[in-house]
Amino acid sequence: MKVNLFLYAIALFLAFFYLLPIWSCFTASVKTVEELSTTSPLFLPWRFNLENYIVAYNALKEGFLVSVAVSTATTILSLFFGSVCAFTLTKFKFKWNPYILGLIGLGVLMPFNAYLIPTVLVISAMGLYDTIFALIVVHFAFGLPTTLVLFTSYYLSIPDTLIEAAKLDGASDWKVFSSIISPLSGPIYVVVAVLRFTFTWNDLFYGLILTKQNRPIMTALAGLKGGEYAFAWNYLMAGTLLAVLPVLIVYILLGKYLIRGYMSEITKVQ
Amino acid sequence: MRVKILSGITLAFFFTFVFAFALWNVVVSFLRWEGLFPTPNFFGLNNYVSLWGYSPFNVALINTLFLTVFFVPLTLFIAILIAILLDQIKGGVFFRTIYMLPFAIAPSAAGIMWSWMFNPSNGTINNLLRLLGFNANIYWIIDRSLVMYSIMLGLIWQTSGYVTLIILAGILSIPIVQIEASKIDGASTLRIYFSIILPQLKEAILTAWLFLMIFAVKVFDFIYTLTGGGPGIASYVLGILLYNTSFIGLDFGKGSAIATLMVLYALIFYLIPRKVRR
Repeated sequence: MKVNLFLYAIALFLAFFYLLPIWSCFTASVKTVEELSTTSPLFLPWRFNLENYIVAYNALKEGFLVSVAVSTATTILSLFFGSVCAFTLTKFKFKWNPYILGLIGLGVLMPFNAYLIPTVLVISAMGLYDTIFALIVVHFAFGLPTTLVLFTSYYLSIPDTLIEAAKLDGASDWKVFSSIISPLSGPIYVVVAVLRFTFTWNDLFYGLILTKQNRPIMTALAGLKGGEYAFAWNYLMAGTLLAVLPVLIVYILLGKYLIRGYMSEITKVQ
Repeated sequence: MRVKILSGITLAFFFTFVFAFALWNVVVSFLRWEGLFPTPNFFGLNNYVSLWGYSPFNVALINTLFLTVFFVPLTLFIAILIAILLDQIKGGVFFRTIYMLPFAIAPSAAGIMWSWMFNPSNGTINNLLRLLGFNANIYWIIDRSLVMYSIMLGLIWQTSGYVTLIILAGILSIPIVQIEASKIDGASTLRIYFSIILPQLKEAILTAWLFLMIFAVKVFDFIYTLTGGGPGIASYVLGILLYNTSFIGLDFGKGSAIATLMVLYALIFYLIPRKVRR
């Protein structure tokens, strides 16, 4: 019993460590500039200064819109193209399918650094620099390895007999996909959607190298830290919380699926 | 037919962006390519040679190696301890959800949160230490000799919860009968972990290690918003150097050389687990 209490004490202490940066971000986000230097970051002020959130929201609202558009479009594209392509790769007996699957596994581990320079050159040459469209294409394309790994490993678990039966009844490939495979894919659609949305929303880098005005949320936020709000911690912390809020909500509501996505991304490729 | 066309489009995207671009990157690394659209000249190995003895590269390389040598094993060790802890207590799911929370936060946003944590005048950590009675006036990310340790603390905060989960999944996949049987034989809890559980965690530990190694070589966002590579170049890592060389300095040839080296480095870690398993 004594040992158990001790273990709970450690677990609570760890919870404190993991929550501390988020908590101190919250307390700073409701303080005035004076309170930032006169009160402890551990404690809330007497009066919540919610004006910080209005300032931060106004500074970040374009970024919000860009990220909502890019994340939503990327997610939809990934679900549609990813599932159709994985269906072909797992349920058709093309002889090069195993090799393609191997390359997809390799693609998951390819560090993103490898494509940066060609990406910038191609996007600029096509006149797509600083467009939302460029961000969508890039996020869709670079998310494909993970998307395909998740879909193919799920489809491998669907028995082929189901499909063969439908084909004997004369169903086309599209019909098989849309009326048999797709309705069975509910859980994996959620996993991929949650994962793609989160990754796209959290992205800093592509926003940094591909945009100037139409910056997605994280790039816009980093811009505030490096620029006009460099030392205005109250505004900066309010902005940070606003920026991470959508993903935190996804994590709290659908954490199970998000974790499943993370886990399979790393384990399925080996 | 429709299915095949759609799949073809998808694979075309995949091969163009992931593989053709990676190969193109290698080609650019052999060219002299400064500015966005110059007339590139063949440059041989000069981009690579110029990195040799280039001090920002040395600093970045040492810092990246520092992360692989200290951050990776330390995080793994902490995660194994926490996984055992969560395996021992009830309510593990509740704590696990909290410990995983930092991994859901965008690394760039985490960098901003931690820059307030590390603020020397009234930042969270110094203030906490003062409340505990220490005369803390520590320049966490301003002191050159301290900055990489501070960054490591932040990275442990961000990744250890997720790594714990990988290890915990490994522990939970061990058949309960084995553990019960050794309990009946009178084995102590410690002994059960050392002789029965740990040896069977090889797979999970390898997975976690691989994840951390690749994370360590790619790390960018967190450091970019926390220190931007500073003070001076003290917290340069390869990712920061690549960004500054290519997109600030516009030396795409040299940038590609750095990127190619990073890919080679990551490929090693793609191959090692395959070797270990055979």
